[in-house]
Amino acid sequence: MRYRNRLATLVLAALAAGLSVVSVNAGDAYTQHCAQCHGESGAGNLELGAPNLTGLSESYISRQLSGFKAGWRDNRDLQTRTMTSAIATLDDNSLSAAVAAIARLPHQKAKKTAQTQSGDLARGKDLYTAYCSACHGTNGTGNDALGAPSLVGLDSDYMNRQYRHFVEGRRGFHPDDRYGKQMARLSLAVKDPNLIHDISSYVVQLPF
Amino acid sequence: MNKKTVFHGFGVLCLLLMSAVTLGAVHEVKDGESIQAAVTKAQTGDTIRVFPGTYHETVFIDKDDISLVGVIEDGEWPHLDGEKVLNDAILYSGNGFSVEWFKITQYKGNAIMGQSGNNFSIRNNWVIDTGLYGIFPEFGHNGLIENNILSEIEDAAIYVGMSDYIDVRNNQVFDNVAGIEVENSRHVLVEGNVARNNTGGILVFITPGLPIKSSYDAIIRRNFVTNNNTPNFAIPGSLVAGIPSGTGILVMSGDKVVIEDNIITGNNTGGIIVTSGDFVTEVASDKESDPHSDQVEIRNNIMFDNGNDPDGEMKLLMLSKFSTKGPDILAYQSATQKERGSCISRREAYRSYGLDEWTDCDAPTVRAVDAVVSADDIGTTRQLMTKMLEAPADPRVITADADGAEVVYSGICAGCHAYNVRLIGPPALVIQAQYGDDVQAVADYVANPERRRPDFPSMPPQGHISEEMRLLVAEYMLGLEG
Ligand code: HEC
Ligand code: HEC
Ligand code: HEC
Repeated sequence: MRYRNRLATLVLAALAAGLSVVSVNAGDAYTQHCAQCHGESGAGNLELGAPNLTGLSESYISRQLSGFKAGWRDNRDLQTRTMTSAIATLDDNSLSAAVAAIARLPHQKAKKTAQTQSGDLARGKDLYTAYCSACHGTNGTGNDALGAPSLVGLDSDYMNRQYRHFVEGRRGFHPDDRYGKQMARLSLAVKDPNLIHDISSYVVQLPF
Repeated sequence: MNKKTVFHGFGVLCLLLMSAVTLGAVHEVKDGESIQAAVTKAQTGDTIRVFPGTYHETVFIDKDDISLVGVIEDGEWPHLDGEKVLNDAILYSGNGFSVEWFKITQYKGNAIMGQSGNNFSIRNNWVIDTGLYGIFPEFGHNGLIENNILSEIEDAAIYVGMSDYIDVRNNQVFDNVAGIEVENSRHVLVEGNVARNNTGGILVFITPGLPIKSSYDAIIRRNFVTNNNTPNFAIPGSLVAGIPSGTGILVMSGDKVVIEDNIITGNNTGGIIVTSGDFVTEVASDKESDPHSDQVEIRNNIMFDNGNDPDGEMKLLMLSKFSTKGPDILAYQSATQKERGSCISRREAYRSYGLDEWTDCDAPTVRAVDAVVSADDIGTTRQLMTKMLEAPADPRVITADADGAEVVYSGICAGCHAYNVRLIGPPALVIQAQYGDDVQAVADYVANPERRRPDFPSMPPQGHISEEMRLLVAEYMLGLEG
């Protein structure tokens, strides 16, 4: 376990430093700039903590990219640092080309994480319905009018981690991050990591 | 002024007051005219007679003591038709309101909704497919709901919400999700109704996260609760979407509920289910509400042919008890416990589960001499004729301050927004996360709601509430805790 983390750290560091040897087949902007971490299909990479991008809307992705650039997610986290530096030097044109390319990728299922124990699905469903569904949608597919992303397709490690960041004030703290602030306020309603795990266990098995 | 003139003056005052109630003007509305226009002209104590015809409108009544009376001619009813465009047919916040003899169809929200008006009477209306609720007095004291017929309602046909001293009698409700729902209400008599072919027939429960925290003192008596096996067609995610199809009577977190002399047959999940708050959702905690059902008395009901095909989770529960059939009576979760103080008469007569720790209650033989009004109390509820008040409740007054805001919130908003439970609208907690302390933005939204959630119905505009009051209510909503 320890070893795997170390390895991941190394790989991440290498990628972030631009030392990647992953083939840059002169494809679209996504394949060029993003696929080495988020995968050719966009389904993400658990080792790197890079989430599945294929369920996310264009407007949400664009907002996150500006957010990474503007420091809306705090950089103490290795994964966040990696993503922030991966796009630091890319200009707006390449980024919007990448976003457009992501929109063309077919939806990919959520990756199964190594977490052995699934949470309590019934409780997860009840919690999700009461506390999350009014923004992320009854089926978890998000609501652009509310700035709430689709959660379907995200792996539970990523979901749990981001949720914790909202609770701990590491995301949704920036004065300009209007939607992040909303999620951060909401996150305080359910703080127990076990309950969050129940919710993410429920969400990962929702159909696209 | 001597004593005599004071007395005299008082007498005259009384006469004046009485005449205000009984001798108001009569306004007539004919086909092609507007009912609302008549209401606008009317004064306290007036009667509005509406003649046969089709009326596409929403009628707001914020004056006291208005009577809205339909006139039926040769079987032709005055017909309020929302054409699935309008939200509500009749919204009243005035006290002493009466409405009768209307046919109301095709609205999206409610047929008749009371928003904190006291001393109301809703009788003889015929309601079909009016969206979420049929007859829905919210936060009212002292009211009568009688002789109405309601069908095809997506949530509750008759919904007594956060109200006290209410009689619900002699109505017929069918093909709805919930037939009659008594929610966070006290002192309610539900008598002589036919509740058939709904998903659930008659429900008494607490929704957590509402301003009124309890539901107690209800008598469910002499109703016909039959074949409530309609598949649940509530909006997925809403609280009533959790009611198993095939439920006759459900008591969830209700206290002091007497279920007596009903005829309960053909309900495929179970005849009577008594359970605690986690029955439809495990997480709806409200530290101020007691989730247990205490002191439930089940007496002298005729029950057979229930439980033929239990719904979903209930089927699994019954299988775990080595039965493929559901019971006549099921006590479930904490409702099985002795300390709940519930009782059952003639327990051996029923197929039941979970009643082992319940005590026995009397179901005495009723002889002819026991049935007359003047007879002695023989341990039934027979001598009790009504739960309504002897003298009318004080009229509800809405002041332009935080107290008034609480009344308006309870009377209007809480019908769809609970604190941390999903009802028709998003929970207040979610709205707090969205809006922070932006009171103005909430007040603006409420006057002119924009559709944002494809999986929720749209919110009916509340522009009839003054800007000042909307700001106060918004502040109240954003400040709510649990
Ligand atoms: C070096 C690896 C790496 C590269 C290259 C990379 N990402 Fe990421 N990306 C990550 C990681 C790791 C995260 C998770 C960040 C976190 O946990 O805060 C992430 C997160 C994201 C998110 C946030 C997703 C969400 O659900 O909020 C978006 C959007 C995203 N990346 C888009 C892109 C795009 C577009 C590109 C290419 C232009 C790209 N990434 C390139 C590693 C990478
Ligand atoms: C008030 C509306 C609202 C509610 C309710 C809400 N969220 Fe969110 N959530 C958002 C918004 C808006 C975002 C996007 C924040 C941003 O732009 O960074 C978000 C983002 C997230 C993210 C990050 C997703 C990603 O791709 O990075 C997770 C995880 C999440 N929410 C989980 C939950 C869970 C679990 C619940 C219920 C306990 C919940 N949310 C309830 C509005 C909401
Ligand atoms: C008949 C049910 C109903 C009543 C009564 C009602 N609401 Fe709503 N409300 C809803 C629904 C449904 C939505 C979600 C609408 C949407 O997102 O499309 C909503 C949404 C809202 C929102 C906005 C959420 C957003 O996404 O911006 C606010 C604020 C709100 N209601 C406040 C109130 C207040 C205050 C009252 C009382 C004056 C009230 N509501 C009465 C059903 C209702």
